[in-house]
Amino acid sequence: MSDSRSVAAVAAGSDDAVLQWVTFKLDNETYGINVMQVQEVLRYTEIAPVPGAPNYVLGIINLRGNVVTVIDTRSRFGLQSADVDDSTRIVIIEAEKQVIGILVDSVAEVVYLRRSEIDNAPNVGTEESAKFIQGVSNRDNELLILVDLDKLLSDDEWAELSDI
Amino acid sequence: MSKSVDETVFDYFALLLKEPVEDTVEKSPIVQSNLKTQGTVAPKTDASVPLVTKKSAQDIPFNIEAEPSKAIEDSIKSISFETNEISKHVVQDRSIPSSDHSVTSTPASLYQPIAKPSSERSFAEPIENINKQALEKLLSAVSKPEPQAAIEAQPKPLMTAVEIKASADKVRQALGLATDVAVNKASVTSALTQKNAVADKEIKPLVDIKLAETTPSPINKAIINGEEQSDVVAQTQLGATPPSITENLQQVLDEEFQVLFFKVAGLTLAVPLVSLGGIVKVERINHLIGRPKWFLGVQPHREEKINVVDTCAWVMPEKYSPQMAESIDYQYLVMLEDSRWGLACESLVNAVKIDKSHVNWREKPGKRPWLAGVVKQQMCGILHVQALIDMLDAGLGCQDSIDRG
Repeated sequence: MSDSRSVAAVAAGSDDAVLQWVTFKLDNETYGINVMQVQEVLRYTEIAPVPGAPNYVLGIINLRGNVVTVIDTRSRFGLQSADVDDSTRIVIIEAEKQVIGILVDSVAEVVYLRRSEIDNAPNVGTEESAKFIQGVSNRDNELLILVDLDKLLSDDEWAELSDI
Repeated sequence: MSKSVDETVFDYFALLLKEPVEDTVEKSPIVQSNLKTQGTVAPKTDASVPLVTKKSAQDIPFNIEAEPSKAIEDSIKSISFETNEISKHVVQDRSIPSSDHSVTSTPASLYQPIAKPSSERSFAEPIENINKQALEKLLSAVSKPEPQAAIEAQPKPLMTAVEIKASADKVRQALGLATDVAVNKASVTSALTQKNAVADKEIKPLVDIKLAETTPSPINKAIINGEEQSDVVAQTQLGATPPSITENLQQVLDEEFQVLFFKVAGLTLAVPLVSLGGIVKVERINHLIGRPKWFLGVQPHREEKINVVDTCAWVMPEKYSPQMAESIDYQYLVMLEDSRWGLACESLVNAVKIDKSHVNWREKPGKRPWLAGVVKQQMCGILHVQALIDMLDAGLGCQDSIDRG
């Protein structure tokens, strides 16, 4: 523990930029995504399924005349599916030069975090989804799991997504 | 071999208890039956009595009534000669294998009648004073079965030349004569001090000499060699013993150290208090995606994050089932040293002081480096915390090979 503290202290002295994170809930856990990658947050709308699409793709939506592919975030994170309710949101993000939507349970707020407040996630994951997490932060005694949206899909998957 | 040395000796003494000295000396079938043998295998003529060689019959004047002093002197000369001969014989025996040694073909029998012909002191008297029970007790020392099968066949090891001389000197002392100058007094004394009972001092040397002479040397040599080899092997093993994998842990621990016992799904585990980072109440564990099943998640605690291990899933993955997962109610986190890792447990049993010797420490590396040993009394595993931390840091499960890390 002391090691991480000292590392954090060093970082605070040198390059301790403040980053904004949009937080959302998924299966009672709070995740954060870089606010710079978030374009907008939509209420749940009808998602049109796409035949032959990968299983992590829920379907497509029409966003002001543009077709946006919506990703099943729960499935992607290895979580069980849940029913859509009033708090369900579609977060439109930009990653790997593509605009996609991610379905989340709810969107909470935008938080400010210093870089020094971000810790590395325990490096014990062997599954694909382990690399989605770029760090964790303890905020008000609550853990915020920071997601690296660029790694939400592999290069092949990003390419496959662009063809839909 | 139809009769053991002990039985023969016993029978001999039993005979002495029954027969008058004079009869024993003059009419003993020992002499008659062994006139034709000297230092060779004696045919068994009478199972109830020991045998004496022809040489012994000739050299040792049994008729001491006629010429007591001369007989004694002759006896001493004979003993000295025989001692030398025996010494040579023993030395030769150790180098030259002999396949046909009989227990009864014993020059040592030479010495047995010597105890009797004394004009000043009758050797039958002390023997008469010894009852059969006492005799059995004395002989029990040589009758005791040895642990090795080979030793069982040969109740006593070979006597050394010094011991034989000491025994000869004992005979001389028994005769009331001066000790042979050639005999080392100190050796005799040390040899004598090895005898426990006074009566044993009278009887044992005779028995020892007989046994020494009658013991087949190749077997003894093999036994001696075997013992030497086993000694060498033992030393080699001691020297080559690899350091215990828990040596570092054992060095940290005092002879008496405290451990905390905690329970997980009915399993009790122990952690040394020196390796205990703390106890934290389970509050809210944040699940992290993409982690192994045994990784419960992260619990924020005092501006820090605890990596919570599902102890049951980690320790007993083969028994871990969804049903078990539902039934487990984790209450506390047992923090490992100053790491971020905390083992979830259902209950804390107690913290007790135990002795190092109460733990069956692991000596060799195995599949479970995280297990330092077993606490004998509680019959539960004691954790090797540092090894456990290393495994957890490497993302290894209980059954994963450490090499993977």
